[in-house]
Amino acid sequence: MNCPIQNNNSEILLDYCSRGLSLESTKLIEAHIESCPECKAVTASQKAVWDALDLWEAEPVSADFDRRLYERIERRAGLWARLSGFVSGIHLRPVFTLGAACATVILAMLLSVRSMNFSNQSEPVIRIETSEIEQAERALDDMDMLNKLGVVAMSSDSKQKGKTL
Amino acid sequence: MDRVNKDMTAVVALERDAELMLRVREGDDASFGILLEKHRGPVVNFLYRMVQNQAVAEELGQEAFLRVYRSRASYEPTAKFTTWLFRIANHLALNWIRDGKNERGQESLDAPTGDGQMRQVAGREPTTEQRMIREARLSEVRRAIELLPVKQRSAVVMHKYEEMDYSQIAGVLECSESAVKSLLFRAYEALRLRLAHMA
Repeated sequence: MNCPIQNNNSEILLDYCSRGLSLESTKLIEAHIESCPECKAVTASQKAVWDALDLWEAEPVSADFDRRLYERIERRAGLWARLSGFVSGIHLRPVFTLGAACATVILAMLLSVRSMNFSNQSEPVIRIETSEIEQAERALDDMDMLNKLGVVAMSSDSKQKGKTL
Repeated sequence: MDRVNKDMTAVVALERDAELMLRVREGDDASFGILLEKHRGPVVNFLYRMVQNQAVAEELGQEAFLRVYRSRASYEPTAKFTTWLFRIANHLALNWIRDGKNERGQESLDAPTGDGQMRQVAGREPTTEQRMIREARLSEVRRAIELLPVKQRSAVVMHKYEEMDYSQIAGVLECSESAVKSLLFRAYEALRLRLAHMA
């Protein structure tokens, strides 16, 4: 048999120590261990660890483990039953039906107000147009004013010319 | 070979577990009782060695079985029942350890058990000296396991104490068999170093 350590197959030594090998494999590995000091040392220390781990025995589970578990299951089941009972009760009570109708109306109103707000959001285009008109009107006013000023200036110039003549 | 024979019987038992769980899915609570009776001990023992506190282990064990019961309606026997159960238990233990709830440290060996009695360490009426030596050694073993990285700890506890094979451990830890072999080899190597003086 090839040496498990040299063949990078040391897991087989763990299997041997944990009695996880077949009878045939166990015989083969035992024959090898006798002639391989390295494998002998590893299996000896692994067996020591195995025995040390055996010292740690499990604690007995509490006698009331099942009772506590079933109580928890019952509590959860009871909670679900109460919740489902409450939900099914809603359909039977007219006050809840009325409440649901009111809630629907309020929701519809809220949605319509919101949709109006949404439609208002498309106004910037119009606002730009009105501001352009306002700008044009303002420009025309300015031109009128300039024209008047020009007329006044022209009339004062002609008066001055008349005086000099 | 003890372990080989156990593996052969395990194949039959696993199919039976899935069948029982399918009955639970159909509303048969008695089948849940059978599963609980069968797996209560291994699950709580696994959790105890992971969190090193019996009261916490039982609490987490209850949570594991509660989750099994709650998910009965959606149960599909795609994975082995024990793999699924231990995966739930392992997640609960890892979450508990990760959340730092083990800051209180190991449960003292002198602490009374749930029924108020003092803990009995195995052995027939040992002398005080023998008992003290045994407790010191046991404390070292527990400490050595506690010092392992959590994934290695899970693998060692399942391999050594629950006698699971590589494929089962791989299923619980959701990794490959070769990764499990590597995990176990490194874990036992660390334990050999820490517990060498006990040989």
